[in-house]
Amino acid sequence: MNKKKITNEIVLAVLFCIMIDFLPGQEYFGLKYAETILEVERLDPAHLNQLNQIRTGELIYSRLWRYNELLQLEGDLLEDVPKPDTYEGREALKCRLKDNLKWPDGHAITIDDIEFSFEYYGQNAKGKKKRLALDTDIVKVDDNTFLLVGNEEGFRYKKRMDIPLLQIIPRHILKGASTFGNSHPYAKVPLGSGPFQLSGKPQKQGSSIEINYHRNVNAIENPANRAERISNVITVTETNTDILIMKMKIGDDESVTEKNVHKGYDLFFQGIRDRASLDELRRELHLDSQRYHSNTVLAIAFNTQNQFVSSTDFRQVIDMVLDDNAIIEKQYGSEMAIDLTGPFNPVIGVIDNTIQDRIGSEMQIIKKLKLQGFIYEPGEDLKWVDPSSGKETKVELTMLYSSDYAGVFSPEKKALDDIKRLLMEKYGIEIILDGVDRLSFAKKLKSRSGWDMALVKFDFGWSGNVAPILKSNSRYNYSGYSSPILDRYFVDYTSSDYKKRNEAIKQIHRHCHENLPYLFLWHIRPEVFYRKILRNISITPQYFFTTIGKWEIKGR
Amino acid sequence: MRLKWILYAGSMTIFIVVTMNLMIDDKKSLDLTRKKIEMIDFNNSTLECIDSKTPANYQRFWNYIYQNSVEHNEKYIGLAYFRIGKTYIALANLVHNLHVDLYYKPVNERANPALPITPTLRESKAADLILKQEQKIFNYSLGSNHKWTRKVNDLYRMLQSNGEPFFLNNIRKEINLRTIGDYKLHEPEKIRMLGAWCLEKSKTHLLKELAANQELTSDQYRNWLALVNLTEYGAVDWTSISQHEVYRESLIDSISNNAYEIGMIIDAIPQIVNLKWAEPKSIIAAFEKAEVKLPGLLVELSLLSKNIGKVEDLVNPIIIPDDIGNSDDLFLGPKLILFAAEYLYKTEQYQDGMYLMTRFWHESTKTHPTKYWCFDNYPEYLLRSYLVARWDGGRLPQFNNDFYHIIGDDPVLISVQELLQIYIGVIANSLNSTNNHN
Repeated sequence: MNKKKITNEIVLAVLFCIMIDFLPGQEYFGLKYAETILEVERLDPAHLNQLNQIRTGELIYSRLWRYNELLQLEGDLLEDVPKPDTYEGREALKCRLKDNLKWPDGHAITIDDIEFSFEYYGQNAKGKKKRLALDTDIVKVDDNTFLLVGNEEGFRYKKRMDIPLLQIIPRHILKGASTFGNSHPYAKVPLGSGPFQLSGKPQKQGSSIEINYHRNVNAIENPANRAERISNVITVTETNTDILIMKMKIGDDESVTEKNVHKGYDLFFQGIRDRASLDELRRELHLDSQRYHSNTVLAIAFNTQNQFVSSTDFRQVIDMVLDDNAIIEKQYGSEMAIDLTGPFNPVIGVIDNTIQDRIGSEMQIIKKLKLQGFIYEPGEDLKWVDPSSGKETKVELTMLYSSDYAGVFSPEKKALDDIKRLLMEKYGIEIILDGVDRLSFAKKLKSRSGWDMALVKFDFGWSGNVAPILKSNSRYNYSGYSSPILDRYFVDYTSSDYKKRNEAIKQIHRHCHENLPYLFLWHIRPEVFYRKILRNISITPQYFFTTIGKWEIKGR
Repeated sequence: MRLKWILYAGSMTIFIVVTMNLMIDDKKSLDLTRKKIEMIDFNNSTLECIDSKTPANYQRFWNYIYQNSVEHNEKYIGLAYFRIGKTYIALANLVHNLHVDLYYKPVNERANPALPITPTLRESKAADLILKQEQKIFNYSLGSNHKWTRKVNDLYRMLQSNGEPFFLNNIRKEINLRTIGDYKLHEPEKIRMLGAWCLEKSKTHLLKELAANQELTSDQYRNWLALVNLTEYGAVDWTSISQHEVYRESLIDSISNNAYEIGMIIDAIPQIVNLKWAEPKSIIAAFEKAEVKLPGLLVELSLLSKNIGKVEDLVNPIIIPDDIGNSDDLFLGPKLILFAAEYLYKTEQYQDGMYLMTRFWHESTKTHPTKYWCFDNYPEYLLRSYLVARWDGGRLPQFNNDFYHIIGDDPVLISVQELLQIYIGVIANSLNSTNNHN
């Protein structure tokens, strides 16, 4: 080979490489997002109750009709929202399936699947899902039309609202067996008619989980620009906020390798609450953000069986010391959080608007402590003398918190540090901060041992069911507080009569503010960040991914 | 070498500490301002609407009137009554329509399925009667000879005879959310009447201020524009205003020069056309000269907002373009969107109107209106937006959050808070929830 030929070949090779580089590459339309927790023990819909599970379910399943991002109803498997009807003198809803509906494996979706799904919920679900299925009869009218019939007064009104809870499953895959255990393959890798399907079992590696989904070829819903629909979704667990931020900040071009391996995340909706990190993300030009509404409440649970915190007056002192608005302003910024005076959120429902945050001056707080028999001397530990034995005790309280949630640099940990300092410096109350991992936290919280106060974040969902944490004898009542009066309010609280329910809410609010089984602190307004390559993003409250079938993604 | 570094580090530390202190001091003085001075004008968080250091998103007219009443200060009081009057009228419309949604039937068929809630309520003849009466009253537009029902008329007479002290000290006892059987009903007619009374009061003050101040100033021009706007409710005697002709003749110039008062001018366009002070075509030409986006649409929608017929041969039929939100005019951008959304609402394109409005408010946290846009009357704008957007259940909590920021100490706004909570509560409760904790 002569020198000229070699040179020519080198030049050609270089040119070829350059040309390849400029050729349009195979476009990639995948999406990767992170969850702080993923629960994948059972993925069949009757068992999807926690919020992360609900989000998973939105990717896999569809419903007869559904709530969209506006909280308006629209047809899902049905052509439209069902019309009111009557059957043999009973209230009914007339439903018509869309034409040519198919499961991902090509089988037709039929009324048999709907009947089978109701049977499945009747046998496997709990609570409302179970009652819904058991209270509803299905009457077939023709191949695509059926009636949902019930005896209950107001059946049509109530069931139009409630039936979207039920997601439809395939009869042919389960061979008609509506009851199955944890080990059944369907519980691990279920199949639904939603926009995505599992690509296999969720992968577990230590405490990390990864779920892979691919597009359902027979998906009911697609974006207007079908070429830019999301082709696959990868969900992973990620608890480290620094990593979350770093992976969101990676530019679009570098967020995926040539072999379509994700180096960055494309969307996330939880975990980051401190102002500096949020501002850092808001500045990124390739990211956009939206607020959506959740009903989370940050609270201090008092272990009401323990010394000191068993006293309502003492709990009120703690409330007086904490100036929620000042803490919010300092740790989050006033736009990020809403001060709460009880378990209910004022932007999402009725509260007693006359109740104000309990704040006291230093003098008022000291006076209140002294009235309770505490011995207060400036600069010294607060002491309590047992009237019967004369024994002197230093006031020392253990504050339990989850270090996964309130991590070292989190605003909540900083707030706890401030509270600890304030209580010690001004009132001589010693707070021992006990940060433990999520699992130990849950265990300790439930056992009600080894802590006097605990920082807990609750998510009550949009309908704001606070009963489990307040009702006597409830396993989720961490404070151990028990009041027959409060329990009575919960009878009307579950009423479908709005007037009764709203009055009960106000009573519960007043009772909680007065008696403080928990000190309800604030609600943090969540913000979802996503890459701008994601288009037509609409977020459905509580369910989050309901409309993901319509979302678009630009190739990167 | 080490000493040099120590000195360098020391001086940097002192510099940082001093800078931080200065910053903290600056913040403190702003807080004091916030507590002490009630503002009449709106400023966004990037402080682009007015030159003064007005706190962002802070426009509380009731507080302003109250403070000025205590201090016997009448500066901007006419404008304050004008703006609060408009706010109350927007509030009354919202309250009335929430009643319709809750207790009759939402006009938008796609509204959340929990609405109306009547299937869950026991019938109440008294409530029915009140609601029917209310419907009748709201079918009529507000004019100078508006007839109020007996009780509302009594309250109106009371306000007329006792004036501002009654408004500031007693109105909280007069306008409430009432329980009638299973129904919770507010009093939108009273709120509307109060709005009308505030506008009357505004007219008196504005005329007085204009008569007393003969010089040509931006403040007096705003007062004059408010008076022009008030001609919607009745004639104004311009003879006492010596600069009236100058202001009138400067209107077109103000538009073509994109004057600071442009927001108030666009609001007064239907009245300007009605008074035959300018032709729509010349107004559009002036907006074109000012390089305002979609000038024809802007003017036509403004006219339609007051049911003044279409501008012939200009923009017909009305098409709301997709890029309507792209205007970069700080005052006119939001106006255009509100006019368009209200037009869609009026023509029963409820979903489209709602989408337009909610997109403007909540499409991205980076572009929330209080960050970048300017408003002459932010509370009124918010309430009018809320009316059009109210069927977007997912975004209502955010609208409520914005609403709580405009309340201040206003007893009328405070009294409506619970109705808004009932409304969102009904929608929220239609979703079935789970519990979760960390």
